[in-house]
Amino acid sequence: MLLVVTYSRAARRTLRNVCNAHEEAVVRQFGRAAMFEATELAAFHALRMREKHGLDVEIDRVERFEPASVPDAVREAATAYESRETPSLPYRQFAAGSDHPDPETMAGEPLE
Amino acid sequence: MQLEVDGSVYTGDVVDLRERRVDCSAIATTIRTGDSPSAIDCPDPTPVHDRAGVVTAEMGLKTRTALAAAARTRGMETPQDARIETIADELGELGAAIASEAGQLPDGPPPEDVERLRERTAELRGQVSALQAADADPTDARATLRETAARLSELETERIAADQRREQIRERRDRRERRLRLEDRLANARRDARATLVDAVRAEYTTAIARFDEGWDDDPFAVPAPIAALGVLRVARVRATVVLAVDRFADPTAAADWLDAPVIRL
Repeated sequence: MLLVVTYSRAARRTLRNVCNAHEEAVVRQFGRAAMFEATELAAFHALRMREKHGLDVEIDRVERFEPASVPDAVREAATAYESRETPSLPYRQFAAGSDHPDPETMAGEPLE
Repeated sequence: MQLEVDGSVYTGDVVDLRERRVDCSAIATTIRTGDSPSAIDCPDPTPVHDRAGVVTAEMGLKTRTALAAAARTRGMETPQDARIETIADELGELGAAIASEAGQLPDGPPPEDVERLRERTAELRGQVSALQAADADPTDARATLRETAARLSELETERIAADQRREQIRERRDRRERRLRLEDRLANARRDARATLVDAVRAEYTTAIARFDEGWDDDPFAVPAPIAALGVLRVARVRATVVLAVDRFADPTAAADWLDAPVIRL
């Protein structure tokens, strides 16, 4: 999908108009940002907005997230942590002295 | 006031031009901008005058906004005023910083292009080696390799520069995001201030338009624009000349008295 984020009132207005005119292409709208299906038409409108508003329009490409693409250890850590006995226990302590990855290591690992 | 129109000069607080065929918008322009064809000597108009100072039958009016402006002419302040000034100041600084950003930050070559060129270079290098191993002439292949490697080097440099620019772009967008947030906050503060001002003079305004009561329904802000304008002018402290092109008063002098402002009656 395409993520369009605006950084000025004028650009925000244009985005709103585009979303209203092309509801079918809009996956989600967030006020000053919106996600579109990654079609050439969506790219066309996004690029038009960039032509019109320059830096005030940011365009990114977004992929669907597949939990299965995340390393097992990370997924297991998330599940285990959410079912912990002590609600007030921070993850760092939860992971220490266990087989779960520590936050610093995970922070340094880019996701495939 | 002193007014000069088509060679005639009029002085005083009340000028009746009904007998002359004078263009209403020309007079209005004169009061607001000081341009010819006529010339007027009167105090500078305030925002309330810009909105309500020329009363015609066909006029439109944002009544609440005009009424808030009227309250301001009376020196009224609101709890939002300090906040409005602070936000406006910061917006000014941000705007200057944004305006002084130097130059475009172009995108670099797509990473796939760089990668493809890298692979091509490796391929060519392999070809050159193969030719040499087979005792064949590698000259042409080597020339192609050299060109391709040079192009690769160019793209890689551009790619690195683009990555460095990304940080700069992020900073520029951070600034713009803050500006957007402040603009929203300013608009909200101004809206709140307007509501406060309108509340402060609402009773006075309602009393004023009651004079022209023709049995319209409850909302005093929904009365016809000329009536609303007269009410707003009555509430305001008006020094610039009001242009009156509606018939709501016994005579122009009565209008000037009631409005407490100089009047040109057209």
